[in-house]
Amino acid sequence: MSNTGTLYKMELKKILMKKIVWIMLAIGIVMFISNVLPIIGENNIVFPDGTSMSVYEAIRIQKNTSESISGKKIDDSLLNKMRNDIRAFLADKEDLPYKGRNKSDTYPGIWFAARKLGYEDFMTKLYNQFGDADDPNKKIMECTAGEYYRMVRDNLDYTFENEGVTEEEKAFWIQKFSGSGSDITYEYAAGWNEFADPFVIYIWFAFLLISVSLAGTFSEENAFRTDAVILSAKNGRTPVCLAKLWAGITVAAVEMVLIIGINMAVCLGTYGIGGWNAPLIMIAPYTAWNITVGQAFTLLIWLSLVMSVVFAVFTMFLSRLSGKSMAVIAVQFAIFFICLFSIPNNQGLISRLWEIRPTGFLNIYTFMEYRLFKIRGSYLDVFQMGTVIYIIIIAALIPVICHTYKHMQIKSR
Amino acid sequence: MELVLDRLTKQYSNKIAVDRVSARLKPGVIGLIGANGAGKTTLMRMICGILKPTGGTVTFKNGSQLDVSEEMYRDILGYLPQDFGYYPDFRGRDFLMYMAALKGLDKKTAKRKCDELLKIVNLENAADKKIKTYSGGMKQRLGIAQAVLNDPKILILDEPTAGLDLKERVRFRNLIAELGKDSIVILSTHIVSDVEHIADRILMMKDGQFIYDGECDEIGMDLEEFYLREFDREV
Repeated sequence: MSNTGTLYKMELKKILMKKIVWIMLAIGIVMFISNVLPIIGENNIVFPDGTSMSVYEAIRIQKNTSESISGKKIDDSLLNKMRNDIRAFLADKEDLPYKGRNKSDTYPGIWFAARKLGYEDFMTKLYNQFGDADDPNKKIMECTAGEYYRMVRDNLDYTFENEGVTEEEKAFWIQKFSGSGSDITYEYAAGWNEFADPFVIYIWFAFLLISVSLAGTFSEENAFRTDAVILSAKNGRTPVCLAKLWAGITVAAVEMVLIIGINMAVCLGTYGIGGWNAPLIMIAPYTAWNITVGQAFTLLIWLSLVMSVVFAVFTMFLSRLSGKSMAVIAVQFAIFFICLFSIPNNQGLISRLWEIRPTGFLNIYTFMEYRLFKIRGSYLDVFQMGTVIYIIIIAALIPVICHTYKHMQIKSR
Repeated sequence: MELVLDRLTKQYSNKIAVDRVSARLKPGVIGLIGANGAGKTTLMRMICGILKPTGGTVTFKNGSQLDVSEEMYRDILGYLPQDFGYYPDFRGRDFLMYMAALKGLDKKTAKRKCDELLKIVNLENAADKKIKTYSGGMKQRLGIAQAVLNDPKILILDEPTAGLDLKERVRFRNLIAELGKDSIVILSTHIVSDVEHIADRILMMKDGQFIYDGECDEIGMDLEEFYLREFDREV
């Protein structure tokens, strides 16, 4: 009998009995939850007229107002409704010392009014497009819907230019963008927005947690001196190796799901669960992807699971080769550190490949990356290319791990 | 049934640990004695297939022939290494169940064998305690239990009595003598008294070579005296 099931459970037990795994997970949970503590805490927003409200109250007002206009197309009628409400609110407050939060003085107090009335989320969507204008507040208060849609397109063109996108690549994205660029429906998706912003931090943390959890998968057998009895047993070679790999992959995937799940629950619990069907532009202002927020997160979460497998297999590969847990963690931390740097766009293929680094491409900003990989006449975007590369890495590393473990010899101690 | 060592050699960069060792080992208890550094552990590791020889072969013959690298060979092998390791947070019973799974025993047989062996090695009452709470002797007894879980045809015991008290040594010797009736038991030690009462055959090792290979009965004198005389003669 190969006893794969029993060996798998035992390998899971070996990983989970490490205290450091639980300590790190607990630190992560506390760290992520503490991100929202100021929201539910005592922190108050004080307004220029002397009134105040808690952050939680401000979110509640924003949610109510935003949900009342959710599902409406961004057109002149919706813009005017917001402006009329703001003007009415500010009508008797001309002497307020409050100024706009940017260069403009044309419409002082509109952000104060937006927060009081709950229009801040909607107004931020407008600001995201007009933010670089000379007077963004004026644009927000006076532009037509047509101007807004032209600005969306101009911003997209600017992003293309900034990234050095070729004409062919531009044509590829414009085709995707067509149909979505002149007909945007507002949806309240603040929960998803808050969840999306630090997505890459979840991936970094998962990367470190997986590294700590699995660094000893192979090397600890040497440290515990259990390698001799394992390797001399009937199932001590291939079955044990496969059990270790499956257990490691399971732990990594569960850890990734836990980290993502906890953060999703915290963000959606605080800001509201709405926005799954919102157009992606609601949380990624310069995107050409004509998909919903839900579709974008489905893609990100699936890719995160793929990446958890990559992290797991790579960690176990290092554990197998180095034979020392600390060496594995040191290498992983070095990789993590190097991945913090970015390579400028003008470095061609190197910078494009660098975008696919483990902690680089799994975030909402990748939906605003437009450089493509041309392979045999077909274009692959960063997500597709990342998936292909990482699946190749997994497929290459697993046989190497199994082969070297099968022929592993005991080192002198 | 025999285990054939044919010109087995292990050479490290600056030292020959085992030097062209040959022997045909039949069922019974074989005492492998030699000073520390004689090459006993290296030889045993090669017999267990966890250390690749520089030259020579290890073959098990029992009708058919099995090479040391085959799964079927490992299926009939039991091994207690000199530096027997364990998982500190595992309970004794869990560790044995894990070893049983490694050795290919089905769940029912594994449970029966574990209970039986825990009783034999006197760990019944400590079976559900974590191994990190065990004394040195208890860990060694657990190691002995795991080695015989699969009723091995070849049983390799490297310094098995380390850490055992006198009473445990006697109990252990009886167990080994019993196992030696049907299996090839190689018991390595540098303590001569460990093997003199139970070994059918003695292999003396020095500087990677056998300096004596013969039946215990042929020695005709106290084994320890004989051991010292053989070593002195070599010097």
